[in-house]
Amino acid sequence: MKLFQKSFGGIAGFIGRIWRHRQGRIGLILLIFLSLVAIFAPLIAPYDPYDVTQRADKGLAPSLEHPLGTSITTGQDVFSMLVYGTRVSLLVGLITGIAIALLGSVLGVAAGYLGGAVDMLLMRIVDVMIVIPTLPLTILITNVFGKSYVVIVLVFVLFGWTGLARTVRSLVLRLKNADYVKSAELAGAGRWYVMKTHILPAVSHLVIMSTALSCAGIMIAEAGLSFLGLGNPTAISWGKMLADAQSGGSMLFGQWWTIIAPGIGIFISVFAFMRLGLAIEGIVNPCMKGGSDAKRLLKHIRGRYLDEVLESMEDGAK
Amino acid sequence: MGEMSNRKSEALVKTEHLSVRFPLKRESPFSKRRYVNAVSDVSIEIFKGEAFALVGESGCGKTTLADATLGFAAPSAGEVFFNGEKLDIRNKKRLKQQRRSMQKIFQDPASSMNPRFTVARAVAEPLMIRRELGEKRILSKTAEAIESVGLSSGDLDRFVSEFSGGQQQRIAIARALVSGAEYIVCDEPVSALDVSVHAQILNLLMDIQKERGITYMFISHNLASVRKFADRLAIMYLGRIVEYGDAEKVFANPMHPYTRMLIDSVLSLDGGKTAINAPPEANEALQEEQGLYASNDGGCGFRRRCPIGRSECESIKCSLEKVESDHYTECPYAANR
Ligand SMILES: Nc1ncnc2c1ncn2[C@@H]1O[C@H](COP(=O)(O)OP(=O)(O)O)[C@@H](O)[C@H]1O
Ligand SMILES: [Mg+2]
Repeated sequence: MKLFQKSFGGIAGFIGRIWRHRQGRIGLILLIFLSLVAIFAPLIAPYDPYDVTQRADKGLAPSLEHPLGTSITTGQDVFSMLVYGTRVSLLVGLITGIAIALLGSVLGVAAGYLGGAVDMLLMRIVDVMIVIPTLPLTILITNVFGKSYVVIVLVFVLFGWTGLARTVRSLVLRLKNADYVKSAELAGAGRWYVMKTHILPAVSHLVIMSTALSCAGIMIAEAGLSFLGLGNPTAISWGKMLADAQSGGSMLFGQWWTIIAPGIGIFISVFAFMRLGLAIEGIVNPCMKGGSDAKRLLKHIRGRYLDEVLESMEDGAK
Repeated sequence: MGEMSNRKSEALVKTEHLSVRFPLKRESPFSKRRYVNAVSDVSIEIFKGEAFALVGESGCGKTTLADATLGFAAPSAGEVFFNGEKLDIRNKKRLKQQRRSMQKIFQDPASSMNPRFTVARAVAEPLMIRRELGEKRILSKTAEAIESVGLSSGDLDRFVSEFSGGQQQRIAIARALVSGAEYIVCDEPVSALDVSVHAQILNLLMDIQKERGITYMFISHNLASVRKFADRLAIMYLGRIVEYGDAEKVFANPMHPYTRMLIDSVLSLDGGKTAINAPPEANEALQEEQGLYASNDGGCGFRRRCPIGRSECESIKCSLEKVESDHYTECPYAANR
């Protein structure tokens, strides 16, 4: 019965709504563009930055051969590094974002809906996780388990689910007592019906939105960690490009392009995910104004890694 | 109250010495738990087919009392009966059965229907939950209901959130009709709406009642607005029913000083705003008072605001006393004012 089913109309319908949203379309287009760049990196990049034989002189200025010059420490083609770096950033961002979404929403729903001891236990764990200083611990963990993106993703997920779980929990608590749930209960609805019809769809929209935003946060954090040298040292990522530029003294020699290039990569991808997240929020909560879930989530994401990473970057720059 | 059971119709909803309380946040883990007594010792009967009005200022416990009759608020003392049978919150299966004849129309229509639903889905939800009818029957019943509240069946595939407050309240009413409820709680159904649609919605509710013989518990903080159609009413103050009975008799011969205050304020120029819609600070004071009221069980709850209060009121034990047939009040000094 179409009349009764049309709510937000499945995944295809949801993507359609994002597309029709001005900001959402910008986000989607940029994201598709980034994905294509990541997938077809070998075709787009003029050189293979992983191939030692394709290195040129160090610190060359932009030219026709090297549109963004060459790296000051290794002589790799900066434009090719930028293109290949998309792979690491996007993969780390997406995998972590999705893993956090799964873990955070399952635990958040469990805490909110089951309540009682489950809720108590999970929320105490969250309380503890939130006061743990993440950056020192991340450094510690990568020192113990080796510098790799697998470890970084695991660490991100370990610390990342708490914020989402909390938000989902409070949404579930709110929905559980919503007027329309009461009204459905009066009409004879059971727990499973309420869960399936009224709670999970709203939660899934919140989770999709927060995932878009947390991907943005994670990509920044990943760049930060790579900058601090905690990522896989052999992989080419935007953070590592920044780190190389800094350690080679690009600023000192006026080679600003080696810094601008990865900066633009990070900016575009964060911008894309943010537009997407805000658009989804606009679709899901059409009546919400300014101080919205998205803003709160954003603050939270920033609060975790970015502030610490930014601080240490500032310290490093001094 | 033996006399009431002599009435031709029987009570659909009945509470006996019903109390509902909510725990207050403890100031420290060691301090004693305090409670808000939202509903205290309430015994009322709502007869089949009548419009029963529950009137009192906001925060006095109206919603809690109504929710208790729907099985949403657990009694801390006393009992609720529906159709002569006890309403037991713990007996989920039975409660589900009993609730089939109940519905509630909420103050804020926007929150009473899932904003992600189309009108069709919101209205048809009770039928879809029950899965007793085929799709065709559900669709025709839904269309019929939506037309009976003055909307068109062409609106069925629009989202609920696209409608104005008044229209949303109509949709909510259609939903209650579809569910076939015989007892409908209308919890301040117009107070969140634009003044211009108040009369329309109230008229719609009245027409429906006449047509289908539904029993209403109609909650309002405005005594004047229930005058037109309440058959019987209860005036509530700080969790207690202070005056109760036949609406005509209460309006003709108001006994409790609080009832008189409400009626007087209705007649004054500001449309009753002073006495009834207390400002937020006053409301907090009210809640504080309520806490006090909860802790010492002696004395009349209204004594601080009472124009005819006397020293006995500090320690009096109030209970509803008969004034005339189907007219009761808690104030023993009301008659010789
Ligand atoms: N779920 C709850 N938890 C704690 N206190 C509550 C709850 N619901 C209502 N109360 C308190 O009970 C009192 C009566 O509330 P309510 O029944 O909503 O009043 P009304 O509907 O007349 O405005 C208020 O003091 C309110 O703060
Ligand atoms: Mg209320």
